[in-house]
Amino acid sequence: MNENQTRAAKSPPFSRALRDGMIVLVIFSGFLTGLGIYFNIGQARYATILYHYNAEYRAGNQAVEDAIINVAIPELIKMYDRHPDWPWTLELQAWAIVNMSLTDNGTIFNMLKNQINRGQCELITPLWSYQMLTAFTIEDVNFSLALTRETLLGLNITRFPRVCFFQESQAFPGFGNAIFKQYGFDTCMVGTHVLALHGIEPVHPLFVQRLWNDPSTDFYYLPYNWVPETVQDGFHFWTFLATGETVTGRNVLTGQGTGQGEEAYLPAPELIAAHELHLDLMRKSGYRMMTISDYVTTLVNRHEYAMLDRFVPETTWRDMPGFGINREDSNGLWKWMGHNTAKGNATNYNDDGSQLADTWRTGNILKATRTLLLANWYMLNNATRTSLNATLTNAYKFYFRAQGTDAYGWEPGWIENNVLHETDYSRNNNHAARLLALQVLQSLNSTLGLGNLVQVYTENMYVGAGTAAFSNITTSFINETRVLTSSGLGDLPVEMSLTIKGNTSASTVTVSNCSWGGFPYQAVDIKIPDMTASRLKLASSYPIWYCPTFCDDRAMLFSLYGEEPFALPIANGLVFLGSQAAGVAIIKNNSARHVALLADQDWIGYYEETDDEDPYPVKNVHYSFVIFKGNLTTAIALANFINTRPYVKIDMNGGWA
Amino acid sequence: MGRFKPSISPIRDEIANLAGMSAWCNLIGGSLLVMIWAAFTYIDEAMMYMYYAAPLITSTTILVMLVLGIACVGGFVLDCIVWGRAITNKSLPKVLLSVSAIPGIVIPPVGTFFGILKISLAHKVGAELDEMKPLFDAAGIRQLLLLNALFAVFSCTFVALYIPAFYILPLEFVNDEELFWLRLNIYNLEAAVVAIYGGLVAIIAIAAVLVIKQKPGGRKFTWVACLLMLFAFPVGSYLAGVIYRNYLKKKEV
Repeated sequence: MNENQTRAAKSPPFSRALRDGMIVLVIFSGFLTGLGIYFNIGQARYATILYHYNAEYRAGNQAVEDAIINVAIPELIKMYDRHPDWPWTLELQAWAIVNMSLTDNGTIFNMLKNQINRGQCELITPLWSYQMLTAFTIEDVNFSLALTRETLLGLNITRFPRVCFFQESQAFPGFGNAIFKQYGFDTCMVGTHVLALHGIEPVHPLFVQRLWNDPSTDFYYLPYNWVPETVQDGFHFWTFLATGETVTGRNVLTGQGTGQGEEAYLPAPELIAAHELHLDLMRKSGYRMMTISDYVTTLVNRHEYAMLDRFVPETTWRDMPGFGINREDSNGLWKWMGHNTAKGNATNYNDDGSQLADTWRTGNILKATRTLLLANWYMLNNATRTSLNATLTNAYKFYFRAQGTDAYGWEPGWIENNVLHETDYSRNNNHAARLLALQVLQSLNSTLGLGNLVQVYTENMYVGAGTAAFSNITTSFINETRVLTSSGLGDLPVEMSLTIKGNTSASTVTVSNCSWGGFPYQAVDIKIPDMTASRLKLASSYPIWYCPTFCDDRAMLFSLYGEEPFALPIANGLVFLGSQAAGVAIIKNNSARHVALLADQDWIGYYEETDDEDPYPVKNVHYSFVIFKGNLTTAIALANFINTRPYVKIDMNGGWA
Repeated sequence: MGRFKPSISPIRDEIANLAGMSAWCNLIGGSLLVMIWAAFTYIDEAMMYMYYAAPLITSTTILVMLVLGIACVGGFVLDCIVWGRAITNKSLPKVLLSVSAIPGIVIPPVGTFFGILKISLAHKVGAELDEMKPLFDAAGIRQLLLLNALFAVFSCTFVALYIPAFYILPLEFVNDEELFWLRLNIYNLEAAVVAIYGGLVAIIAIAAVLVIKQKPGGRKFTWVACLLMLFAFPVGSYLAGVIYRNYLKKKEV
């Protein structure tokens, strides 16, 4: 017998086979163990952290505001002050930073400022308030950006991020606009799940969005996720990325709307201690903690980004694991612009469309006031114009608060002990803004004698001087001519049908033939005394043209991706059907009612619904549309005249504030 | 299966056990993979979670799951044929054993283990298929115990290093109810697996030393080791069965 035969005789075949199998298993396990060691030792592990704090979480509740700004966040600042080499990212609205600087002699604020200026803390504060910016105009966001930067510089903050994270995780193609880049912002955070909704697999750590094949519109989308992401030399982890209260306090996100008072926002020492220990463990384990901007810079320097092959429209959070939120609630902007809720102990209904229109009209007044002030700037003495400018700036501060997302989305009608109603937060701030604007207007009028009635052309807001910006001679006003017709929705040159759940018998639809400033069009006014749902269908097929927010002069072709409906903010009001050369524009007048356009599988239109759990009807609904036949360029101009840069008539005697 | 035992050889018996265990694994694993594929493809909520897990789970990996799932179901059918032929004393061609190994072999570690075992048997089993000689000698059992101990050490190290690296330390959602629950359970699972593997390593190692040195207590420790290995389904429980049948059940090896 040779050696093999001897061994075979000693060891039965099954024993030998089993040994072979076991050896394979051991080799494989060894390989996996090697991988485990490799991932722990051989790969870079980048870690970023974002504390998203919202001082308007319970908009208008000052006790909650104070608990967040001056009790909870300071604990976090103190924790990081104990570890000067721990980088972190804090996101907070500008007015809250100012509030912090005025509290406790600025002790905590100075601590934060030092951390920011030495590069330890990255402060993401692009805007004055937690505005629903995608529903409003470029002039608004430009003012908010400027006001914020000026304020932060005034507080001696000297370092600013390249990354933006917006309230409700708003991400939008208009971020490529130069108004953001002028402040160094070139990266917008967006959820990977949101990209997925538009058919983009988040397999790259960074994307470039380019619109109209125009490199000047380029910006980065930084996808965030709650599981590790692969990067060139290892992995990237979002150590924490959520509402900050959940790490420092006992705020349970899933309990939203069930009546959380300020105690939910107060810091819990044991949670902060656990968080500190956790971060310490991570550092000792070899995680490279960095600010989000530093992480983006690392990716950009290594060219670790990919060009997006499609356009991603304006988006928000959508739901996330653990939040228990109905995902349809937040596909796009619908939650804030069409889903009317009045939960809890609400004594008043919530009406997104009406409240947004109220805010829109306030914006028109402020734009008109600003235009008048700038047009007459050199006719005023220095003290007067400085004073009026300060008053107007103050009005804008109220206005930006009125734009706060929580006044429209989730449970704006929620109330506790009769002290909180988030819709009132918007309503009251609008009122305050208009009162201040009226002060400026009446002061201008008393100094310059403009007369009782002025028409302001806000498209000339930036001219800076001259009468081209306004007219105070009523015979020179550009007025609309309007002739009521007997036509109905079925007679329009575009498909338009209305379904109402509510008081249908008292609802009215009127169609008028109009002309204004050389534009001939039909005006459609729909008035509904009360309703719990409505659907105004505009079209049945894709694509449609619309102007992305902050891209008011360029339209984009949009088609619904996937099976779920998606809501677009349509900030300048325009939906255009047809080719660029000829088509029909349906322009929503945002000053009458401002809601999102819902794009569904077989229809496109304006859809509103009151929450089934609390079916308070919305009342006195007034939709106003302009139907214009012509080319796309003219339609865009008309939409902007109606909405984003309107002609505003101002009665100097007030009564409208 | 038991009623065929008196009429079949020990090698046929073990081949039947192997094919039976492999068939179960193929059926369970294949069904799971196909169900995962179907869930991620057709259920909206699952699709959304897929994108949370990206790039770890992508449409490509989901497609791979489908392919592997179908392979497993195919493997199940082949295993059933092998099992049936083994217990009914029919011929077991080498090619049949080898082919039945192919679907599983690409799915480590379980499929690979059973696949290699089948190929190895196909290569080594010849005329002795129906001989009634014993399957294992003392050297074989020692070898098996040592390899088992080594396997357990590696597995323990892997679990201890790999999972915390990705799913525990970096993620902190302290106060979100559902995520907190998930995290807590991963922690517990991690601790339990490490503890079981750790205990198993120690007991198997002690058993191996005692068996090799033919010291008293070797059989008792092997009993305990087999009992613990039962929980390490499917490879552990299969090996526990092998050791039990070929060592513990017999008075002498």
